[in-house]
Amino acid sequence: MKQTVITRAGEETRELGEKLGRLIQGGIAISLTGDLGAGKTTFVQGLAKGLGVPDSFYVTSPTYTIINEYPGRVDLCHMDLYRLGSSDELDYIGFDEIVDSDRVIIIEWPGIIEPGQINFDLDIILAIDEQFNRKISFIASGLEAAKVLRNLFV
Amino acid sequence: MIILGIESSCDETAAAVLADQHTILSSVVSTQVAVHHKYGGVVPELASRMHIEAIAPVVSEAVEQAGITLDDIEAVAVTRGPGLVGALLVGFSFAKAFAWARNLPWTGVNHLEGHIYSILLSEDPPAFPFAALVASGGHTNIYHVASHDDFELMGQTRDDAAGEAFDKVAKMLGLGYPGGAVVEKLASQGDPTRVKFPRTYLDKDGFDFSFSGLKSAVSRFIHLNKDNLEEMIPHIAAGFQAAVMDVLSFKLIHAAEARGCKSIAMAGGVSANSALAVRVAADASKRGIRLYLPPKDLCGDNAAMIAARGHRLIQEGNLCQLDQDVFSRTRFL
Repeated sequence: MKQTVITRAGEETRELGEKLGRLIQGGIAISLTGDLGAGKTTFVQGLAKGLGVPDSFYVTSPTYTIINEYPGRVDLCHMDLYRLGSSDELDYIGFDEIVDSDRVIIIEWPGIIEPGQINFDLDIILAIDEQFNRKISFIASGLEAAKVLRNLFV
Repeated sequence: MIILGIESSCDETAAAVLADQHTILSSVVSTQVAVHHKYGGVVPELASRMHIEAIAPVVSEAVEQAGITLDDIEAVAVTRGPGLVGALLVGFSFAKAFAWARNLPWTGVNHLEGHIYSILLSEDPPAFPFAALVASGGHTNIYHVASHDDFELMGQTRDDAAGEAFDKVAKMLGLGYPGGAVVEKLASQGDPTRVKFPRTYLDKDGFDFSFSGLKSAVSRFIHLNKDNLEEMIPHIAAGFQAAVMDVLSFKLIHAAEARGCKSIAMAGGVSANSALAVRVAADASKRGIRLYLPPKDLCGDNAAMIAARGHRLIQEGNLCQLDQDVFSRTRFL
């Protein structure tokens, strides 16, 4: 199941993330793909708000820290694998333990992950068009994620 | 008190030996030493996070360079957080086991308080109180440092860290990653007024930062100027760096004035940027404020600053116990 939407400002991207966050009721694995400056952190800021992460936690880029964790109605784990060189390095950051946990796990730059290491319920792709709008695509796998996606676009 | 410091919160595995709170006998950082040779010396990003492989050789190297033996070590300080839990655990568990086996006092150090202590390790440290900016790839925080143990977090970034913005702009300009230092070099050859990028001050009376809008503005400019990008690169770098410097300088000086401090300091990887140091020092001196910097080799992550902070904590009786654990993030220091 695939859905696509255009956002015209960072605030709209954030609101879309928030709406998705409000619909999520339990652990889910999400991949988040898009170029530098496409709005990935902005989207996750909204997602965190929708998941009930308190405002006192700033949702910042995980590029350096690799993993940022936040408490919420459902806990959130925001990862960025940009700086990792290969799937071997996932061992060094305790990737298997993270994947096993019952949280919202959203992973930027998931390219180095080998098949079978994690199954994404939802893939989100942010693309910048010629007018600098963001074309955001959602692809759901499985019944739960498909249900969330249907509710996102009612 | 001879103290061993250990740091493994992010990319670097580091160890250092201090003879007291200010005297560094050795400071070893994994990416700077021959530890890499084991891996062929060609994959620094990969090897750098192999803390578990690097920790024992790095500690040995620090002890050797200090000209002491393991028996001379009287205390241990180790980074407890914030950072990557898997990385922190390597240094923390090593320190815990080392101290337990030798029956030594040991303590866990907040990495950011360590960076503040790097300023105190300079030959000419500031007197308290001072306002400090800790800016690196992972952090952009302003503190009011009132005493050896009193750090008030006044502001922090809401999205990207300052060092991260440099590295990402380098990537967008095709200068490789990480390329913060390359951006600084190119900026010195460009005209900072040629391309005007936005300065995000958020609330001008507040001390939080935001650099993602600047990053997007650079991205947009690159998209719109693909045809003559090559000749524009130094000007883009200069315009970008000027935007970052304006905000960092303004907020740091503003923080000092808000707390009545006559001294400011910068620490973390970004404080090694000499253009920034020159600029902030000039802005500050106009307002009767003086800028202090750590020794250049202590700007990035290192264990000497951890040992210095740990030395103080142990002196004050703040020890760790075997059942204590690392932490990934703190809301407040």
